[in-house]
Amino acid sequence: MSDPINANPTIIDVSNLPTRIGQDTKATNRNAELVERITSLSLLTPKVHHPSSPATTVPDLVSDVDMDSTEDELVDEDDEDEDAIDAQEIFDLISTISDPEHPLTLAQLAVVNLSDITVTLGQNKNTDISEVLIKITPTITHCSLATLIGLGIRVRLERCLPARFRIRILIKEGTHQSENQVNKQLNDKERVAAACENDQLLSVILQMLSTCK
Amino acid sequence: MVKLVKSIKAHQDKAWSVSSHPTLPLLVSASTDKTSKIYKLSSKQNFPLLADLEDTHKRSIRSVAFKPPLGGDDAPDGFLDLPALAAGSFDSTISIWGIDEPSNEYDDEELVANQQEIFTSPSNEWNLMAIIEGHENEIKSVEWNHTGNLLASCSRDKTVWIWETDPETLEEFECISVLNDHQHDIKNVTWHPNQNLLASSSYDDTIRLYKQDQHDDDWTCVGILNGHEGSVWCSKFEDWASPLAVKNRTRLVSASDDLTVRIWSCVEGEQDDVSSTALPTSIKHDSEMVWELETILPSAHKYPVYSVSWSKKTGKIASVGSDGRLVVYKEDEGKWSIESVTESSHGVFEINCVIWASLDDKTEVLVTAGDDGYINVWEV
Repeated sequence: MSDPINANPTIIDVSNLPTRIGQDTKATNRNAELVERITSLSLLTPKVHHPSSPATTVPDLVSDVDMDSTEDELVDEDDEDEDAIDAQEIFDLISTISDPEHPLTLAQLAVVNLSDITVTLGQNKNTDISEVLIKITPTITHCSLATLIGLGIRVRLERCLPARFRIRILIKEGTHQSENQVNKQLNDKERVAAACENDQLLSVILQMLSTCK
Repeated sequence: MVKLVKSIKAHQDKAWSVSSHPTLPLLVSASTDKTSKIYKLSSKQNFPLLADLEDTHKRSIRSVAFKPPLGGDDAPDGFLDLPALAAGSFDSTISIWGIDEPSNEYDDEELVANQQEIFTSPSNEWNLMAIIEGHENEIKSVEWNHTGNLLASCSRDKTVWIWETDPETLEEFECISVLNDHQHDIKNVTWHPNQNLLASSSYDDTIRLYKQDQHDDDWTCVGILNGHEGSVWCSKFEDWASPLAVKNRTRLVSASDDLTVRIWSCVEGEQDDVSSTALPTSIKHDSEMVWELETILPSAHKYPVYSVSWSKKTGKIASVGSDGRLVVYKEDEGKWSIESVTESSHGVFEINCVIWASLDDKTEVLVTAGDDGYINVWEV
């Protein structure tokens, strides 16, 4: 690509992004952390951090809560919502999509934000038609790549989510000069279907999705 | 109230469109999998597959339409017409398909008397008769006029093309008009079932109507319907033969991304009065039609409404869309109500198309096509 449209975007450090990915490893780390906290109670042992523990940098759901209760609560929740998809899961699916012009992810550029994702599940959350609403924030108001970014998010979600999800992608209010135009195009199933049959466009999208975890 | 009669796994990907032959029990479908399939609309024979039209289009087939028989669907018995159809694709071309006249097996009388059986037999070979090129990009819809000599097509290139052909040979298609009144992508074209009046629905939220000028034969836009607050996905005219049709009144039903289904009407007598008083003669066109929104049908859809169909037999309307609902509306003394709502009619999938059709035993059915690749047949 020639001149970048936004040459100097604000970047968020990956470690400051909310995620549930790798939570299993964190669970094992939590044991180490527990040991650490217990040992740190001893006056003899200086407080050291386990080098691989992300607990100090990640404002994660589990890191700062009281440990006794967390274990149980998490287990309960997991049982109940075995397959229920929530905003965090959607965020984890799209946060690592690459920006089409920067070697950064959409989450790093704050194009996608956890607080701008709404999941509305059907009455039976595992079988009924459900809805995902994502508001994206282009890095600059005249970003001509907004449609491409939206399309990338849609393709990613259409491939990952069960068919019962209706995906709605909107430009966050007031963040783009042709908001309505972009919104209309991104949510027109026929336009999206036709765009995805364009090999050139599809290869750009696949490139964006190649960094997805 | 609506009962599933048959569910056919017709395609490997989205089924976009279905069309039924006006007089023969034939159904054709179109899909993202680049194929069209032809089935016999016979519940006794369990809806056999008659033909698989493949290896022709490079991209999704978006729209299919059977050509009405010569002389219209009220042609007298004993009239012979070989079935044919048009398929419009995202690859910007239209393909025309038909069957050869059955060979010497039958004499003419036999052929005429048994055409319903002969033309719906799997032994007929469906051949590619023509490929029509002209549109710049994706074709969204194709439709024949009631006499089968005109074919309309529309595209993301913002134009409607009218092609003229000899309906007996279907060899040549000459473009007689390119209409570029819309500002955006055109989603659908539909002909009036009894006259040469054409409507196009667009991404620009409007519907436009076109007629041939009486003086110079040119096709011109004679009306524009404003009101929808989102793309108009589909529209259909009321047949003059419908039990609720009124003389001199033309009605159109439309389905939109704004979740509504609307009925528009044009009353001829009234129109003359209006145009003579409201417009100075200098800008008055003889052909201009005055259309009004008659009503918005009771709200029944939660997501965009993709397709609508008006029954010639009962005057009922059916609509389908992204919410998976199949909705049937009926009119009683000018007032429309919802007769039935069938939830999840293609499971959790979106429904792209609905049509009224007749089975070989003349039972009226609804046929729907969904993102699940299925074609469902419903008794009402």
